[in-house]
Amino acid sequence: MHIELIRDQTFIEQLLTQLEENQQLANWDSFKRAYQVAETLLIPDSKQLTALNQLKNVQFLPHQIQTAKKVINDMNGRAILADEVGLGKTIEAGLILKEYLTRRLIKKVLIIVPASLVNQWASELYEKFFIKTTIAKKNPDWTLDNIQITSIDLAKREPHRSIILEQQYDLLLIDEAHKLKNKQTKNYQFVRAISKKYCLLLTATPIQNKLDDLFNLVSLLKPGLLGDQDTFTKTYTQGSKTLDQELKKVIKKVMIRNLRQDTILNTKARKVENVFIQFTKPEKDFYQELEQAPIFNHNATKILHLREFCSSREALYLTLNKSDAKDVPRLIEQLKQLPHHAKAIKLIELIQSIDDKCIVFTEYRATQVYLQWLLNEHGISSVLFRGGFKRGKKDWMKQLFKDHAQVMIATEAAGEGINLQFCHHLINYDLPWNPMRIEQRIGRIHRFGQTNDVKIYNFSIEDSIEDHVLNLLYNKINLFERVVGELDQILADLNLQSIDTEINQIIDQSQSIGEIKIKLNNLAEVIHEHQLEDDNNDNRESS
Amino acid sequence: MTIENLHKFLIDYFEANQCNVEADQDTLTIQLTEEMDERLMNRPFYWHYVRKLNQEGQPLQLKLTTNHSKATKEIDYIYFTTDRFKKIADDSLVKGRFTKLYQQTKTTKQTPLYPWLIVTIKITYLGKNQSDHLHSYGIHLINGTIIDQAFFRLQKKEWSMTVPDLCYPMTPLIKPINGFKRIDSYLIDQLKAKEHQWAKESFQSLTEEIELLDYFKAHNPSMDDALYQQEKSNLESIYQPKIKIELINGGLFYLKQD
Repeated sequence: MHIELIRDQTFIEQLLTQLEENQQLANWDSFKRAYQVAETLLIPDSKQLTALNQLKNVQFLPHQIQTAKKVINDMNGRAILADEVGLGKTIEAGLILKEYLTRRLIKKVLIIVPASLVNQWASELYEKFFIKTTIAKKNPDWTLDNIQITSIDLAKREPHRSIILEQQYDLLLIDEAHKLKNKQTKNYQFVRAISKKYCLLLTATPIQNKLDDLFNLVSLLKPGLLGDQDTFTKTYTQGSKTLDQELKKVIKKVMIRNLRQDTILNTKARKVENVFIQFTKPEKDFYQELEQAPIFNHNATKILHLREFCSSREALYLTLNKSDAKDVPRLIEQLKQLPHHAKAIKLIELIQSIDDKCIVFTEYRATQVYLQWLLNEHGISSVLFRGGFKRGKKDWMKQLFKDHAQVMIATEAAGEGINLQFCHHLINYDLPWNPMRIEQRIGRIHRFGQTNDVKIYNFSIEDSIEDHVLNLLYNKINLFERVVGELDQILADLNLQSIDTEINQIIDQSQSIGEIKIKLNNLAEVIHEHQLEDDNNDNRESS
Repeated sequence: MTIENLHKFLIDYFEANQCNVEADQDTLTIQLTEEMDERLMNRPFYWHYVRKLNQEGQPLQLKLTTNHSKATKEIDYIYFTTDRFKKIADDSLVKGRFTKLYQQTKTTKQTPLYPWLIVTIKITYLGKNQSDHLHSYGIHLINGTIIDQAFFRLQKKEWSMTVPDLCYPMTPLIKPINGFKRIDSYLIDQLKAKEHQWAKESFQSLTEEIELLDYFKAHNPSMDDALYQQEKSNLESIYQPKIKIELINGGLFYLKQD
């Protein structure tokens, strides 16, 4: 073994020169002050976080401190941080960054985050950790030894790409790393080629069950940990339980996944209420007509329209209007005659009875605008929120909601990166079929800093396509109470893909709504049985 | 000797640098001098133009607090990890780097003062874990005695930058450069004699990591040589055990014989 020795050769020469010239010599107080400063900044020989004593301005949660320590002491700075949404992955990453900075182990850092989160990362790192960052804009200077935040779209474009690949980073941090899982993509290959000493990959999506994704992400951090791709795939796709345990053990060397139920955040509960709404007679007639309309040759298109109509007349109108099928003008005429949407009227009633701040999520922009108008008619103030808003506008909307408006009406893309702990009522006006996205919606308010129990209302039109899916997600597989990770585990065990893929496949391959219903029920049954089996196993193990 | 009271440290620091300081128990208002403005406030262009136009510059007023709840837009929070403190620390290290001091002594007869070379050395053990250690070595430049923890001896005495009345400094028999070399080899001998368990562990990890990488390279054609080498040298930068020897400050000290 060889220990490298690094020494300072210039000091004595300089000292002798200064003595000779009798210049710039310190008095005792200055000499003593330098000694004192040096001693204060020493890194002690311990596994504690040095930075922690000095960040009295933030109250860290126990799991956040644990995570930072583990990444630094046990994982040597290469880790996947995969906490559930809302547990503070950014804070964990900031803490790790700060600790390495304090220890002078890093200088040159590249932080790659979604474009919409660039500013938020910068301000969070500064406000909580006093870490000054540079946001890469038009002509970023990648050669500087500093902390740069960029979006991947900017970084991977020439000439940036080539310059970045010439740099040697002390630390590379990637937020939303699950987007990098596919090794065929340019993004993946770019990130893999970046030279980095330490590396943090952040993701809220549980990836431990999608084996290829997992293999690819781990290979960014520690190539070889999971062996080589072929052997890995052969060994683990068999899916036997013992192998699974084995894999989990290996994964734990590079991944930390804190679950809400294991943290002190668990104290604030989620209360879920399903709100069933009946269409009025004319609406119901129209729904059936739409369902039976022979004009849509593709089943998926029809389902799309049915879902739109479950949301609002406006949502359906916008897409129908673009269609040139024969029956469409007639349908549009009928649509125009319909009264206010039953769901929207229910929403007004609910918001009035809650009499507190609510966030309403919808999948459709047309619905969003309609709802704001309708709320306004009833004297309820609201703000709109969309993923496409610029950061400044987002912050402004959030502030308006906090200080003035009772309701925020948000579309899907609002999911990531906005924190609304001051609100504890969430209304799913219509539901996405992807459980992960539902989880991200809820994560906006059910997170660190929430002081109330969180109430979630799921709207659905009785006996509609929406109803069937909600029934599947909610009643049959207890989605809202269960942790998303568990569901993923079950799906993987059953060799199924994601829930929304399964649902879409069922819809695609079915001839009628009846058939869809039956197949959804079958899917639910299978999942449900597996859950029971699992729960029984757990009971046996613990008794 | 770590800084126990940052507030007091700051008052001393700014006063020592000729700044006017007003303080309550945790907040300071400091009228900077031109020199301190340039060192701490990071506005080189301002000073550049002031000089170019041959005008008088206006040094800024700085407000600092060690109490986070009192921080505002005007009052900066300062703590050991903030950039502001880092600047002050760097400045303190620069200004206290070299010295020549004489022991203060009241005497009625001719008194010799003996020359010592004293250096403060920071040793960093760096592998997968890290730790810093501060040493203060001194060598008697007449008889060659080497002592550790010299700083604590110095601390008990009073010092002045000029030779006190009736005292006369002795001329070193050992040249300071040779004194320094002796301290250096003393230090290296001590390091060589140590076990360095930390380094063994780190080296072990390095070996394991490289084995994994080799296996991966052998089975994954997508990993080319360049990528392999890059990854390998990054692993080495994490795990390769290193000892870093850094000089903090030092100088000649003339002491009375005890």
